[in-house]
Amino acid sequence: MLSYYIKLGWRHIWQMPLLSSLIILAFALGIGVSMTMISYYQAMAKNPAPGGGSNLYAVQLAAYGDDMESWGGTADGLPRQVTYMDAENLRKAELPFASTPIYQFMPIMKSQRPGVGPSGDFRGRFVQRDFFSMFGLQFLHGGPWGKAIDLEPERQIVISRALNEWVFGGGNNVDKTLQIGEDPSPFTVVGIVDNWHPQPAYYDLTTGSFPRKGPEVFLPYALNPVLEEFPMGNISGWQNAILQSYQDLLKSEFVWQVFWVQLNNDDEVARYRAYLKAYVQQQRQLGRFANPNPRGELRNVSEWLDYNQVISRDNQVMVGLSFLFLLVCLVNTIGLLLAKFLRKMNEVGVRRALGASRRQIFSQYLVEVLLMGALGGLLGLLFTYLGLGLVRTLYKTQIAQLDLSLVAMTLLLSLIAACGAGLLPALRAANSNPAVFLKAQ
Amino acid sequence: MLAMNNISKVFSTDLIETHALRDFSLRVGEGEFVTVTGPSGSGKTTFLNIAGLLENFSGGEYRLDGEDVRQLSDRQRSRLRNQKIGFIFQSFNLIPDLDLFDNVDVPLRYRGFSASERRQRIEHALERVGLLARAKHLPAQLSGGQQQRVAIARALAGEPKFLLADEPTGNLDSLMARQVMELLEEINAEGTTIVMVTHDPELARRAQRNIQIIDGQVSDMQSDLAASA
Repeated sequence: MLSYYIKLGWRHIWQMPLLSSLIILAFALGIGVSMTMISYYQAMAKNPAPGGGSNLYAVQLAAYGDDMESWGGTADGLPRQVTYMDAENLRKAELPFASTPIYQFMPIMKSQRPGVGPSGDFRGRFVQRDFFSMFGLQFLHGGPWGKAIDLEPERQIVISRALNEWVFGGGNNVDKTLQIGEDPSPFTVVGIVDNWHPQPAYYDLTTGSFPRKGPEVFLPYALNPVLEEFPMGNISGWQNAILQSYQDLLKSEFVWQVFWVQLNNDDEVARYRAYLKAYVQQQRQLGRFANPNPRGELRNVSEWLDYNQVISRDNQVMVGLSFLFLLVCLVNTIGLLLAKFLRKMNEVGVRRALGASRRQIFSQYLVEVLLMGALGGLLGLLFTYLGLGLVRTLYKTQIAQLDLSLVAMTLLLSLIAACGAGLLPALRAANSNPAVFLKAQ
Repeated sequence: MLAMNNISKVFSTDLIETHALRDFSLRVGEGEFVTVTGPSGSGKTTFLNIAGLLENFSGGEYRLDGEDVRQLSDRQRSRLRNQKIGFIFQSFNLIPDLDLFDNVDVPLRYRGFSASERRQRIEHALERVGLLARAKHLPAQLSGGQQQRVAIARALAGEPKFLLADEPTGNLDSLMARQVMELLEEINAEGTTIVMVTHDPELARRAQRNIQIIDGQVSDMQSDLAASA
């Protein structure tokens, strides 16, 4: 009977094109708007860290003083970043845990391919060797620099596949050299990693949660004071300080980099917390952290994403509103379906007289609604595609792409919505008294 | 074939109760052709709807082909209607957007016949009413008489034992009405039981038996009793 119901449903859709189009459009608008918001929200709510990043912890320190109650700007009053001094101390601590400070810089790269000029459209990060394993970067050629380089820096570099193609035209270029900016001393390529651009950029949220590009240049953190590459991002401080040189920045109480540590179990977390507590006390004795509540804090990736409000409350409200809009569309659809089916009541009466049971009438009309729901879903898919394009333009981001799972989810939602909207009209049709409509014609 | 004992049908609103049928008793034997007459509002259509299992009754007993219909579920009643009853309406009640073939197909679909069986039955039924050549026409392309013949073909396609006709000639001119009546008589002669509501005294006289309904009751019990004796 299903094929018969589909045939009848299809015929009825074309029989009342205007009413059917309005119903399909109502489905499509509701589905399109809600799927756009859901997919955008989902993309933002994603935790892209390996294994959810439950063993990666961002470190925060109450690195401020002069009796300040709070740093401000965060829920618990702690700054999101740490000072160079603290980063140095933490990374050099004699602890068996992988860790890395991270800060962004913007290198000017030079291609070795003929006819290609220098470009500043690349992002760089100063990191420690541990960074690559902690954040799960995949090496295509070579590997990270040696452990010793984190303390005794050499001009070594890890680049991304895209940058490797841009500089060298692709291939294994480990041990080859390249130049950054006007610096005449070349850097030796020790590793080439696959392109890495997790969204949101949980590893370093200081320049936005959804940056346009991922990092493509990785330099040993220990080169930082040598190269004097000013950070590209937030530099905040609680003291009045005049920075006349890069060395002033390094000695200052300004915070401008994030610090991550890998702790694989509760014991390790407890050990690191104890270490932080001792470190804070030690710094206080040295005259720093002169605030009423000197402390350190650890947050794993999902806590870090929440803490930084990567998904703003506005977005949650928007998703709620989009569902309300879908509900309004469905209520309208119910009205339109009732009007459509009312015009078919005589046919319902005839079919009942000729032997159709209530269940068969119900099924026939539900299949018709599902057909319209499916058509609405396809149109809704187009609206979602356009909606996501608009979101990407408005928010200047590449997240929220239309993929296969989203297509399936859209069609599924449209069928569920059609079922919900079609239930009452189909029941009304099935439960009508056929005798009334047979005589009425 | 049809046995109704003390059937009553009450339509209730908050303010008033209307007795459409009261103590309505009637027996129709297998192969009979019975006409039902009566003034407007007397309960003819209510009787026909109850007889055709389209409407429930408030009290009494109704057996159709020996089966007590009171306890049947909607599904069972629909199956019984589909297998044993054919309907012919005054206004034909063809589905306007289906061609003749598909119109006749409707009851057969619910019967669950195979495609080949359905085709055979549809073609046979349309041939019987002389409209096979127009199987792909829409109802609107036919005259009233032709539409009623299609409705008869649709009623016959499932080979029901019992045909219920509600003023089948009411919307036709006298020539077409005669043709339809002759067709019904022919069908009855082949053994199908027919109960036909009509306002036309001439048609009523042509049936084997005529009963009259007045105020929801069978008034002409004499002919009814004579027939069942």
